[in-house]
Amino acid sequence: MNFPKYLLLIILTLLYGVLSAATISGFVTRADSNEPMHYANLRIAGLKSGTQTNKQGYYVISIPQPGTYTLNVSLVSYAAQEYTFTISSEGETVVHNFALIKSSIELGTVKVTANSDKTGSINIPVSTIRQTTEQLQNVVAVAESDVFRALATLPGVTPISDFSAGLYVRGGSPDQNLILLDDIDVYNPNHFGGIFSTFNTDAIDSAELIKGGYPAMYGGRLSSVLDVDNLQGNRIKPHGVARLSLISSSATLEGPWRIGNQKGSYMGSFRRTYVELLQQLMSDIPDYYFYDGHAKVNWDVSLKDKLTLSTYFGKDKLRFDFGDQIKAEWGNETFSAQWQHLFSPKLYSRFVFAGSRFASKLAQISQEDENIYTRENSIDDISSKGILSWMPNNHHQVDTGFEFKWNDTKLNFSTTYDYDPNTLPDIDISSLMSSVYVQDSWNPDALWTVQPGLRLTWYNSLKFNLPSLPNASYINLDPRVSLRRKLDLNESVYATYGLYHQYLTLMSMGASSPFDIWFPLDGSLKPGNSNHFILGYTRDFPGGLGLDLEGYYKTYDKILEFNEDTNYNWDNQNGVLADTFHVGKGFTWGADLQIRMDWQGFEGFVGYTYSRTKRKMQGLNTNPETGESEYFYPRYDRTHSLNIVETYKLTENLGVPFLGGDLKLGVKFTYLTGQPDQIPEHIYFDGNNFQIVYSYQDRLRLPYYLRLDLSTKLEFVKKWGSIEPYLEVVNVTNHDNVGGRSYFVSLNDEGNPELINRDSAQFPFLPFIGVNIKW
Amino acid sequence: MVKLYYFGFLILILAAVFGLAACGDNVSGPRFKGDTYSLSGLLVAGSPVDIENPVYITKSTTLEDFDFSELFVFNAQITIFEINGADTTAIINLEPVVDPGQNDNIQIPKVKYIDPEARIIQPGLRYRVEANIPGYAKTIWAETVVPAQVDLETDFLNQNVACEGYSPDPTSADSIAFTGLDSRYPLAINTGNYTGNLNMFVEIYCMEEFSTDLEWTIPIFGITNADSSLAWIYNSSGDSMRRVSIVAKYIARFFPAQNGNYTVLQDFAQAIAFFGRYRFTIYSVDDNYYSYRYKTDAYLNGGVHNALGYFGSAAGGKLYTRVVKP
Repeated sequence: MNFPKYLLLIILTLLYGVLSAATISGFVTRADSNEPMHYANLRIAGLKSGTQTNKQGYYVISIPQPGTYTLNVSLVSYAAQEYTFTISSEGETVVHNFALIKSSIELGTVKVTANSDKTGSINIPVSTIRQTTEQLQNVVAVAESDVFRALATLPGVTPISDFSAGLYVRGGSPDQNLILLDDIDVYNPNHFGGIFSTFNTDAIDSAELIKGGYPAMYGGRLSSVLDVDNLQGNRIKPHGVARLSLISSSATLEGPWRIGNQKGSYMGSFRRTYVELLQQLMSDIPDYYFYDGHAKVNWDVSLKDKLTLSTYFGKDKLRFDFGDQIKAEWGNETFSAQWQHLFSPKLYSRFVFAGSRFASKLAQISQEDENIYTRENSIDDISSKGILSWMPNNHHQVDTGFEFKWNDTKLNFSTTYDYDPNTLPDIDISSLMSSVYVQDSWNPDALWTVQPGLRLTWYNSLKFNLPSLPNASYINLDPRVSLRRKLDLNESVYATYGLYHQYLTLMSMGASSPFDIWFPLDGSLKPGNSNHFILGYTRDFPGGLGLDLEGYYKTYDKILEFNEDTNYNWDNQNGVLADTFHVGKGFTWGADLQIRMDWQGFEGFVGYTYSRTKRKMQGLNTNPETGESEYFYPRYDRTHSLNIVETYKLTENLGVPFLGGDLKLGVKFTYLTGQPDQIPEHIYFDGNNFQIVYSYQDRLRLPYYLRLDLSTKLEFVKKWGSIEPYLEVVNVTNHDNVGGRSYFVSLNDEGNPELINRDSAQFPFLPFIGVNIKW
Repeated sequence: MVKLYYFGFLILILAAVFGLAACGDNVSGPRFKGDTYSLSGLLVAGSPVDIENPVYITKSTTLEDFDFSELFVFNAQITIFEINGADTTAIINLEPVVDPGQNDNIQIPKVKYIDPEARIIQPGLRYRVEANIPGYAKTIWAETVVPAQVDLETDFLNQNVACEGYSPDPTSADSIAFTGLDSRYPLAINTGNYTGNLNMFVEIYCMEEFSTDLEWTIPIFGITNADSSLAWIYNSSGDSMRRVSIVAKYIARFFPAQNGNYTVLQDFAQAIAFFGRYRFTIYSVDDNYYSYRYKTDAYLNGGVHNALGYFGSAAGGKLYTRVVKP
């Protein structure tokens, strides 16, 4: 008998052993809606075995020997439950579902607040912060609650401006974030001005941000993963929310459906702004509106099978008249079909077929209605994924899967100007990225967890319409490993390492905008890579306090930054993608501290980050003596970042109604170190003008950013639902936050050149009112 | 005890890291050290290096020590070599002159280096400049190849309306109504026998001095006249509502109606902010000047070695008109 036969025999023996063990499995849902609950903790006291539910609320625990056991399920803010069951033989499978009831709070008037028990999971949730709908909506925001603005308050996440929704996560730029909505990538999730993000918070169930060290099931980006799930829909009763504010309205409906003996749930949400209507009253605002919608249908085919279809669509339209007209429109569309199947209690699977499209168009129209200039861009994504999770026993959870992703980017410029047509981009590039991964979460004993993982990616360019673009074919193996040691039931330390590669790049003029252009790499550019090293400590205290502390170090290599000097010009005959990018490297290190609170009526957190990020990009920030590029702090580097986000439910906690309603107070306080900026160092005369010679990009820090936002919400509960007027005030102190600084040389009254600087402003003191209606 | 050990270890590591961080600054040091010199010169085909098209040398200390009276270098030795193939066909020694600057964009006294012998710059030839400054050890040098000659068109579409259109004469009284300005009177250059791409530089400059009488060509938000708060930006260097530059790679192609090869600029009316007198500078430029006008950190991209600035060349000229209400 040779080695392969021995190996097969061993595997079969192991499989028999693990497959023949008894199990208890099932789903944990919310009692008020029957929607799945992630991160619920399940423990069998007698066995010292436990697990956490996955994203779909599923759990499974192996029972090694017959007997009677009690299974406890718990989650912060929910009443704990237990279930006693008897195993009489090996191989027996017990199925039990839990429906958790929100503790101490009247049902039907609030959404769920669920904090994860980071120590209890078999997986190691490194750098992971999950925000529920309520947590996102509790963050005071301009105009209305916003996913990205809420996430930007978390430690390790930095905004660059009040007018950009881009997330800068631990030294990474927005193009390095993988943003998923129901498992499909969303490209350029921006509405105009960054005031609204793409996702309507009423329509989403949760947003999970992994700030680094993410596991093997994710890949293709260097910095972070934002995994957003649409709301599944209430499986028990219809429910609705309507919101009305000065500039937008939205409505969300959800509920159960039943056709014959088939059943499931649905959710639909639509939002529209009407700034363009205000233009009739105030002519000095642009003609602009956007709409977006989310929809999801779930079909609970059987206990083992569930089908889900979901979609998102959004469109922004902007028109500005200055003699000629500027017309712009852009938007995302996604669809996702998911099949969740239990091959056995121990083998959970999910298969996804999904697509995404982002398209933008910018045009200048003359008074004679002639198209002077048109710029069209789109990126399409068709993806299929398979995710298998096998839990052979209580010490192992093996996650494996595959992903195929096809991308196609088109970029076309046309104009009546007599520009050299060779310089006007007319590009069509497509690529295929194929990945497989495997990861084992292994608890060798009650204290230690080891989580090694591997992700193999094969990237190929498929089609170029331009002959000069070289083909690309890259294979990379990305190892990931995490190690955790429990110090107590709710306390642990962990360390993580991961290698990440990125195969898409972004042409962006600095801050995130709808006109950023995604490109699959051609052969002239190598995939960027990043190493993540993370060391963390987490502890949950009795009474609803929690503490997360993480130190991190990340390296970046072959990262890309759009060469703004090209101004989107191109060489259609001889150009390659490398012509339009600065290639470079960098690093970031720092520490995040988050104190979580669900304590004495306060819900929220205090977050602090200390970080340093540096980049060195070829052709940027050059030393005039040597011509070599120098390291610099990029615009989003903030040494100190402090955020306090708290909500206090006054009536609920003090039992004191206000005007007959439930009063809720919210506060958001942000302090950020000023952004690095260049300053004038010299002046010379070039024959036409006095010109400014600038320093390195990070010679000065702009003044610090400070903003205090407050909100009050007064909810009146009626028989049919509730009505909640609210008042929000942004930048209460009217602090002059500097968005940028420009310098000019102008002649003074004596005729001598004088250096002048002007600061661009961010949000001043701004009050907002609106009303929310729920039924 | 075990958990205290781990927690303590973590705190120690973080404390060490933060301790190291405290030693570093979160801004960079100065980029330019000591005095900074610049050379600026645009050779124009068909013209000498003269008071209109001189070479400038400036010296700048740090902003804190900036002294305008010391900006212009007056004692540099500047030589331009005219090179045809491998042969040096002329050596042009420039001389400094002080120009009060009444006829310039910026009306201040300047030191200009000109060719006293007024040798005409030839299209197609290569020119090398070398400048030595007392007290500065390095020789500043640069090279440019002068673009092929082009001719400006004052009435490309042959409107043939008296007292209307562009003129090469700055004192001309010709005018053009704003409506239809760029469609009836596009800016055009005849490229002779040449078709293909060329680097275009167009500057549209309002010659009116700032006042609140300046009237917007397109009232924005109902405002018809310039506000006094705009004075500083109107008079500032660089592009502004007074001065708009267009730098791009254009194409020269055959126009049957005109029976010639032209590069034509249309749809530029948006660059005309106010009614009044305008100067249109239309140049086909070399790569040095194109890079200088196009790139960030322009002063490092103008082809000059051992100094900032540019040494470029151009073919073309200037046209004038008054933009009036229809």
